[in-house]
Amino acid sequence: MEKLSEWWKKLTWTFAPSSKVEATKAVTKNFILHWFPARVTYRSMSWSYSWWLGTVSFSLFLILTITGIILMFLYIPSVERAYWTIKDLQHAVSFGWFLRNMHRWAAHLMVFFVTLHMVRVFFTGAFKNGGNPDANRPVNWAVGMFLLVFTLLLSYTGYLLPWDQLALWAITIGANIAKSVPVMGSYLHFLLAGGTRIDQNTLIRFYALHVIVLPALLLVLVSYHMWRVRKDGGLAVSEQYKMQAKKEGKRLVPDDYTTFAIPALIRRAFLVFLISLGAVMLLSIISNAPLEEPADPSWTPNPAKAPWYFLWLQELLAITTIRTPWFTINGGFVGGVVIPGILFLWGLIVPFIDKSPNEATGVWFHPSRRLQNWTFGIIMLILAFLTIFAMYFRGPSWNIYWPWAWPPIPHLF
Amino acid sequence: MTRRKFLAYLGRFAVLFAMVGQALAMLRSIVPNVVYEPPKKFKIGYPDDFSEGITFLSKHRLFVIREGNTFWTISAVCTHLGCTVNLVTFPKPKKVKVGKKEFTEQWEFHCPCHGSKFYGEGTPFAGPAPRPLPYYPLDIAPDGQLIVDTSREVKSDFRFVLNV
Amino acid sequence: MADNKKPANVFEDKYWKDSILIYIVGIILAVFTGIVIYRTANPEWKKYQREFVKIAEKKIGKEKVAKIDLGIRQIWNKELMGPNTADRCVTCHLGVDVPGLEGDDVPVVFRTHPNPNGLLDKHPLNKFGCTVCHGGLPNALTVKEAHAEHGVRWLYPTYTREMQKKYKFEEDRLVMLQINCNQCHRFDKDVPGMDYINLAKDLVVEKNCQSCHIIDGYGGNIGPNLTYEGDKSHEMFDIHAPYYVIKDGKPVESGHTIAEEMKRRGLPYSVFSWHILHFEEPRSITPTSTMPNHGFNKDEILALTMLVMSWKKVNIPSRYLSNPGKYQMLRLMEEGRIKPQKIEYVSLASTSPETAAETTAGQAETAEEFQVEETAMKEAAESSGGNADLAAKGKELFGTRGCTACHTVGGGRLVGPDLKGVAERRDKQWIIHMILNPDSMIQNDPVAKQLFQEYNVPMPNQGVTPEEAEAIYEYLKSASK
Repeated sequence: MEKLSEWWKKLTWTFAPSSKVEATKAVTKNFILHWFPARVTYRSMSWSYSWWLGTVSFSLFLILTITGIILMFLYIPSVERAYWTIKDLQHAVSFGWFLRNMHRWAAHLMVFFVTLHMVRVFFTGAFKNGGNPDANRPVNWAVGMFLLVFTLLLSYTGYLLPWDQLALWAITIGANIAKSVPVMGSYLHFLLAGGTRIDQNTLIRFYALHVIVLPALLLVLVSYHMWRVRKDGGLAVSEQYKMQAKKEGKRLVPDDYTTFAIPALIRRAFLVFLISLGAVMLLSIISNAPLEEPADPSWTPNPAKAPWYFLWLQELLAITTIRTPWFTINGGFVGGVVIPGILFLWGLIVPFIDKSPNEATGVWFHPSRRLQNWTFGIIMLILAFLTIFAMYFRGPSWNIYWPWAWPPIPHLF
Repeated sequence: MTRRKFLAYLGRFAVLFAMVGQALAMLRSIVPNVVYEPPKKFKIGYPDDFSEGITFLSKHRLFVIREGNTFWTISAVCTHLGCTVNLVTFPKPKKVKVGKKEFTEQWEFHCPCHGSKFYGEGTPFAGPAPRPLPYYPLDIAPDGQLIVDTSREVKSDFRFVLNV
Repeated sequence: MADNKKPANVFEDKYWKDSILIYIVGIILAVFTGIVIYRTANPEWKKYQREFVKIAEKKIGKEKVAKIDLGIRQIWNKELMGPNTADRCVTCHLGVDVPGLEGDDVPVVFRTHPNPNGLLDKHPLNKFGCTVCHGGLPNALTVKEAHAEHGVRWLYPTYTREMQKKYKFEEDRLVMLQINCNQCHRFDKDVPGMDYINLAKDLVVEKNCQSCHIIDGYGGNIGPNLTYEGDKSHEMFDIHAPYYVIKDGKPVESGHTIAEEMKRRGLPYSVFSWHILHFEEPRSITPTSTMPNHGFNKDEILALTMLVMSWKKVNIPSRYLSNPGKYQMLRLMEEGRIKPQKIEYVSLASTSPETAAETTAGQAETAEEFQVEETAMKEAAESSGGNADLAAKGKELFGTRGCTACHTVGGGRLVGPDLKGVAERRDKQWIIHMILNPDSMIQNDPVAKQLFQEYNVPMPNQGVTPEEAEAIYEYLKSASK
């Protein structure tokens, strides 16, 4: 019994350090925990500053990876079989419904929370270095922008895999957006689809992208993203301590404003993971992931709507075709490539053109950043409006209806 | 103090239960509940479709042997590690002795993977194969076709005699 | 506890509340996990299996029921269903292949499958499965999904008595599944058990639909090609177009849409309903339609609707098809390798079950080859019979050659003019010419040209022989008096 408890202590001392020395060692001597800093500022720990949205996003990514690996054992990327392996997941595989629901819901939530994370970082001015010469937060913001794009691409490639009507038409539209790019468009489409039509070649390409290429890229980038946060001296709000100390002419002692990552930070991260898991589980229990009719190129569901996070894009595509007496530009290019491209580029450079003072670093809605916040806020509101409009007010044939007054579409029987 | 401690243990146990429970659930999901496999009992055709001597049914990995109105089947799956054995026919019948029995054979089965060799009636005489090639029961279906049941084995003296 | 053992540089755990939160969230997660495990362990089908066992044990005894495999059951035929698709209907409908569960004391869902006319002997359950005839979503294991009830994204729901009630069938037996029968029996007639489809096929011949429509790759092109009408997507049917009523022989806007008309009659919003309304009065859907109202009764309308919805391109191995040669012939016609011709249907009524079984067996794999059938030409009327006989013959031809689709004799104008008194208005040669070569007449003859401008529908060439045309002329002459 003595021996047993000794062993137990040896195994768990990292999680329950009894002294400051132990707490520091627990991090520095552990390969996995080395990801975390040894100390964390009190303000970084605050719920109301960061809402822990980055941790939520990463938790969802973890859930997606684990369920995704299991799903790889059960799914067959073949146009004859894919749909039916999903049906089997829903009906014949033990816990298949749960796995699929978890994967689908975690994916939706991840898109949502990564976006929220971006919004939070912008409104708190957290991409600013705040006078810290060692920090390079603008770069980390740019990395974050790419992470958002990868998240969207992962969701998009995952959409094709069930090979149902939603999948086929979402991918058809997406691939044709690529096609609308001038000069190299049709070559891009050919490359993406692995041919001139959406078929088996497309499916296997999207499968490879979805299960290995994009997750691997995302994992590399997200590791860098987190490592960068640590090297930048924690969350941007931590710069406030230094600025305040400078103003007051005091020397900062770590114990005054930091605590040990162990147990505070990793326990909190674990808690956030558990809460995220709980949310995904709850959604998975109360709502099943949808599956439409098997993919059939001979008819398009009316209306064929993209997943919610692309609806703003779909709305843009539908209204931005430019017609002049001399030439016509496809809305697929304007709304699908140019406008999102401009938004993305603006997003990339915005920390470099943001000339607000250091005091605005890590502060919610700092008065000096009113213009930036309004610009960003209005863009996000427009995108949200387009999304909601397309979701609830676009009915059959992309006509405008009240959500409760959709005309019935006939069935066969 | 003890109540607080109990609740802490309960909480830890709950976290553990949820984690382990879900891990096991995921592992359970990869155990198939249904499979898409052809049935073990299948028709192989009308008796008259088979010529005298031995016929190899590649689709079923099965040898069917006919002697007049007598039929029997030998599996073509090597008992060592499951390769399909090759049928080697002799221009002249060969006399062999298996145990105390002596008989003439017109063919043998040779496994290409690890060199197992079987006499014409299935007994291994060379290579690593541990057991003779199995025999499967044969019967006649209501529509007059021969039907094989590979879900169970029969002894090597099994013969199906067709009533004409 | 051994508080005194703690080192001196101990720190305060400011965030101890997180531990409590973890425990609370942990308990919630444990509950969720419990729910997930419970739900997986108690799927819907287990409830039905328990119910079945209870009922079956009472009816046929415990021993026989013990022999039935429980759990997820499925019928899988790769050729017919695909590599990963199986009919799991038998997981709940456990009684279908268990003899002795007939009778009213067994709920219909658990009964032994009936075997009228030796149906199951020709279509063994373990080979054909269920959905191929009954419709529904294979692989599914909940009632709602498997039957593809409203709200399930699957185009082909199970044909149930409830569905038949919605379409006002006055039948207690399942008849709508004859739609699926006809996918493999398309070129058969008088098939036992396919009464609705048989009736509809007789009507197609009687009304000579092929004079205006291409059906089975052959026919006129006044109306749309109906060869694969059943494949037309439900999206193609605009049920929000106005619905017309016929007033004084002319279509007048009713003020409401087709969808609203369906709702008024209690019909579902569906292609099936659309066809019902259309057969009832084509011009109520398409006011400019030249298709005449044939005055079909209710059963005829339902039968015809079932027939047109059964006309689909099938992707079934030829050994499962009845008369695969005819399917092959249709394909060759579509590919332009043989010239369009009428495919004669073969009567299955005369075939006894034994010979039918033989043909099915004989068709196995080797029946790929086909025979192109020569259209049987009817012997022309003998000139001997005299004018009265000829006129009688002509009257019959007037119906069978499809003239009635557009013309009446003394019944007023339809698509084409009323032919009463035509023998006095035009000379014999003109009439015979018009019957034999309507195309060239419309192009060259001034009177025919004018008629075409007035009626706007070109008269199709019905492939009438000169002798037959003579007979039809005799009839028109006698009827004009």
